[in-house]
Amino acid sequence: MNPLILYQNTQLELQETKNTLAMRGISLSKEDILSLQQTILFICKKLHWIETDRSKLNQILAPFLTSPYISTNNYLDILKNLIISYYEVRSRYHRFVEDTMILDAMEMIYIKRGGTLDIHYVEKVLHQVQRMRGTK
Amino acid sequence: MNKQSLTTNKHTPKGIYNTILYAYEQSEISSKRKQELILEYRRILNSLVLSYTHECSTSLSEAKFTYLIRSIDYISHHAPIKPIFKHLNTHALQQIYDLGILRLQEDTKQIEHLLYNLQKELYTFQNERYLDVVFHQIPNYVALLKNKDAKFHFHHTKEDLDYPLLDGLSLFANMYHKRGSDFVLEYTKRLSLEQKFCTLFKEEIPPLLQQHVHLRGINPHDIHISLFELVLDQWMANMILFQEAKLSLTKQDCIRLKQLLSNNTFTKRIHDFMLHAIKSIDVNLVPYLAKHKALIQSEWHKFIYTPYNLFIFETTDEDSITFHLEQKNSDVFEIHLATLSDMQNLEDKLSYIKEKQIDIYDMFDLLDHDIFYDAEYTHYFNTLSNMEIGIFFKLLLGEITNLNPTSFTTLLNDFDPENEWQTNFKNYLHSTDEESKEEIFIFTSKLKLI
Repeated sequence: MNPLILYQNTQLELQETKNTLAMRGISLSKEDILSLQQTILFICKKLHWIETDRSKLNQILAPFLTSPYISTNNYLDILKNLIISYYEVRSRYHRFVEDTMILDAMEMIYIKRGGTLDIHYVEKVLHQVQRMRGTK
Repeated sequence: MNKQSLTTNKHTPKGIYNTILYAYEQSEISSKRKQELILEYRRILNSLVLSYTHECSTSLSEAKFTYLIRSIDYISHHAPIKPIFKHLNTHALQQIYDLGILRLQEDTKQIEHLLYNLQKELYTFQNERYLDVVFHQIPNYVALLKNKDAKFHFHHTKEDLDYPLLDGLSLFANMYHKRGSDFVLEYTKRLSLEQKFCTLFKEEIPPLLQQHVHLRGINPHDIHISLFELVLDQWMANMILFQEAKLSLTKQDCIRLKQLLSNNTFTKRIHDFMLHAIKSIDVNLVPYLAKHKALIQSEWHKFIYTPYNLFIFETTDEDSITFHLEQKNSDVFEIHLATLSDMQNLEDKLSYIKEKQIDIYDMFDLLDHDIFYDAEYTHYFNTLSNMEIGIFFKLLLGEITNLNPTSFTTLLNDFDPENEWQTNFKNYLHSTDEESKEEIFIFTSKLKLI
């Protein structure tokens, strides 16, 4: 069985995601949401990773939607990069590292670096998670 | 989806997800019910993921996810409702899963009970592997099955149980086409059965093991050996020769047994005779031995028609040669190594080795430090007597049971191919003439190193 079959989003779920993200102040089209969901599938497939929460998109993107560094010109690329970064970091840690800790670290580094999502971003987030785990 | 791909045979679809699809294909459930079950399946899987990550994450690697799917499948297929696909209208998946857990908890209790008896009835067999299985490997697994994360362990054992039973070692835990708790339960049942039989000869086992040391030069406590197999064959030989349930044999008994069996058609019926004789001891052993007919027949066949030494018998001095190997002062090794490394001439090296009477362990270390090159090895081995060659051979392959001319040649392949001097030693042995080979073989068989 291909596990991904179990985690394909329904139309209703896409609409719910759209509503949730819209409430955060940015307007995403249904196509945008679909494209972001596809990014999750793409990166998970690449990393041999499985996401079981079909509303994870909300959780990953919510902290960034009010960011001043996201504009109508660049939002889709930035959001896709954030999704990819999240799973790249997630797949490097064992199961007892909390998803929320990774997202907090991502937000912290994103703000600290003025919204720069370059090749060093993932590395910096990894360090930040490491630091947070040390102080926990 | 093709029906064939869903099922291993007519009634056992592979995995719960496929069982749902199969039930739909067989018109056991409606399309609506199929969707409900798939949703429920996903819910169970998600909760298992959360439980597995201690609620820390909703995602995990594909490998771990597959591991969890296998866990659900294994547990659900243990529910005492068969076949499952016919019960999907009346039973929720959670219900099937819970019934499976209950059944597996009963199995765990059974393993525990068998283990308790094994530990209580422990026989005087201090074999490392046996003790490890009875006191660590099985108890550790049972402990996993009793903790709150048991659901993740029912279908999987981290390691093999490595004490061999009658049919050998359970490599990769798939010997009985079973895995997880099923495998451990089956193994523990078999071990209990074997142990019960051996316990009947409690008094005779220690001297038998002692004879093993004398005859084969190896302590059975240190090797992968099935005590049951040993006891069973000794018992059987005694039943044939004396109609007595005992274990001890003499060398003459073995010769007589071989003559007796090779001269009549009884050989073909040895297994039947064994089943018949064992019935009066423990009726449960009959089906167990019946399963291993080919194995038992082949061992006895080898004993009758080849020089294969199946039995342990009392040895006299002429049957074994004992060597006391001492390890001398380790400081001397450095001096030997430095001196030999500086020598360019082979003759000088050989004279030095002879003159200093270097002990065997230091010699092995020196050889490991490449004191010779290429053809020098052959020259060095040529200076050794067949007895010395035999000691080398025995020390390199310490755990040799049932040494015979065929196994002698095969054993040469066990030398470390990465090790230069061992490869040269192997080539040297291969090129030795047949007469010397036989002499080395006989000597090695009798050799006992202390």
